[in-house]
Amino acid sequence: MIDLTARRFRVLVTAAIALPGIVVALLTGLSGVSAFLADRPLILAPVPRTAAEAAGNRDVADVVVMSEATDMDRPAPARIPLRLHEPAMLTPLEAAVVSERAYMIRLVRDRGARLDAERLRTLRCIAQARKDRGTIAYLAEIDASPLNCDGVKIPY
Amino acid sequence: MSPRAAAWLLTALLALAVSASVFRIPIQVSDSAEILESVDATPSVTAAFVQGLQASRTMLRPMRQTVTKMLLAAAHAIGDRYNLVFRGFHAAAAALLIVLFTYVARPRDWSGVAALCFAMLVLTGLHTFGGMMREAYPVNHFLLIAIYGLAAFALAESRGGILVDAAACVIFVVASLTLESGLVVLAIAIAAHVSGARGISRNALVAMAALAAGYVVLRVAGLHMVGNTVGERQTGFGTEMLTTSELRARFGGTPWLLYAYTIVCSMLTVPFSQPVAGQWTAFAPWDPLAPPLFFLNDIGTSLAATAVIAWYMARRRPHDGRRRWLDPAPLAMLATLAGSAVLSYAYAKSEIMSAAGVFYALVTYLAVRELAEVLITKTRPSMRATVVLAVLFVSTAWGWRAMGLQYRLQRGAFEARSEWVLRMPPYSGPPIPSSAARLTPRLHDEALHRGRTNPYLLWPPYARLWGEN
Repeated sequence: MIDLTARRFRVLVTAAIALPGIVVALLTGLSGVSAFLADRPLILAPVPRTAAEAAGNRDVADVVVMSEATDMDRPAPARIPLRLHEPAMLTPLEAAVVSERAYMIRLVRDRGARLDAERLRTLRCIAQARKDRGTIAYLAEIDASPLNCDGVKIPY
Repeated sequence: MSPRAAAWLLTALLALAVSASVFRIPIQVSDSAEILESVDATPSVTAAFVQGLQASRTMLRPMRQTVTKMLLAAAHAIGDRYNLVFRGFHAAAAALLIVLFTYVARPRDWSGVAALCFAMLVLTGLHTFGGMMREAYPVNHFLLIAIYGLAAFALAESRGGILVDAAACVIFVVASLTLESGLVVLAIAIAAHVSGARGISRNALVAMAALAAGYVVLRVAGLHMVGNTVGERQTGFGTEMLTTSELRARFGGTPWLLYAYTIVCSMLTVPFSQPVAGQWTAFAPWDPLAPPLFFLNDIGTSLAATAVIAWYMARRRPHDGRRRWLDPAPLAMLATLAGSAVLSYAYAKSEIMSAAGVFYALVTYLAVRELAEVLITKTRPSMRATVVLAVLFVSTAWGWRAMGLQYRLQRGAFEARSEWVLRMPPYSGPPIPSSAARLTPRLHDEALHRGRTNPYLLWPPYARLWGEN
């Protein structure tokens, strides 16, 4: 049994009440300073590094902003924690399909990504592999022909 | 460092933390763009006030338009920087609330500072607090009501005087014309007076009551306004969230049943964190994506804080033996809780109870300060280590809830920014007809180029532990 003197007990009880509040205040307060000075909070506010990462993580605003200075057909490393265990090299369109949000595919196309027959086939195969009905239906509206995924490499 | 300096340092850090995250959230499309455009079209602040008087048959909130007009004028004056002004106002108001909280709590020794640390976690970790911070309409009137309520309480605890009386009356008028919940300012002033705080005089209370009567006359006889009825907004019932049509179908003939349920649930949501907006979300069907850990933490921490408050309120003051629940802060909390709940009779909403949440945190401060002294003097030596671990466990769990606020605010920034794409053409109809959209293009541009953040890039279970997917 731990022997706590009355004096030490007073200090420990006071510390036990206060410590989490102090930690939260320091962590979030310093993060707030960074947010004010550099628009970059230090905690809980990650940002996409590539257009593919934005597309894969439902970040429509960053897709719009990044598309102004990015080749929307170029593969780039993308972390998509909700969908993939590991980062993968994906084009923004492929990432949009991985995000399982049909509106994201439309947005990426609107922002300049090209969709030829071969790319469409790849996207349909990714959607099929993910078994996501929304993106399967959206892509089927563009091309409803029977799908053959032989030889198509799923990029993750 | 003195205890007082430490308390203000803690306050400054938390005010900075909350206001920085609030500031990063762009002005929203929903509930903001339309009112900004319509108020901007009015020729003056007076015209904006009049527009606010006539804006609705159920809501009397002309200060919303008035403050919006004043902030728009400020934004125009510095080159149409709308987000800087509106989000800056929201951030400053958030900081002011936290500063006022410490001012009212007035910790003087290290036990008080420790209790303040804990109470700040309760203040910012409560689900009712997030609603005041995450959204704006385009000014968050729930936050303003919490500030007015706390300011009225501070006046009631002051030495009083003619200026204090005048300030109390002005605060009441502004609060009641900001939001219906603003009427609780009168309840707070009366509760404080009944409990012995004489900063606001009896005459001022009579004047405030007369102003409240004038408010009713203006509302009913002058503007022919009506109260909310069943089915005007969705609200929870049991484990379900009912749509407006479902509410009308189920409660059209027995509205009192829904009203009674909603009032009771609104009163429960602050001390128990359930139900949320009338819906017992913790008891909904099992969702494998939302493990019950979040609910366990929310309900468990609230039960612990509420138990300490109940213990404190049942105790007697050492010098006169009067029960603590008759002290100014507990009685003001009960008045705010009951008043806000009654005013939200037609639909439950966490934000409506946010002022009550602030007073709940204030009473938590008083209760924890007293509990610390009792624990230190009365705990048997054999139990000391257990007590330290138990206290640390509860305060850490509240710390986790308070961190959740930061997550929710970053997520709020993400969603508000996304709205400026998804709720705009070609993905949705325009929020305002293009002929009337004078500010919207600038708001859109500002929103896309500020507050970058993406909560989906975090390890997913974080979000689930804070109750979101």
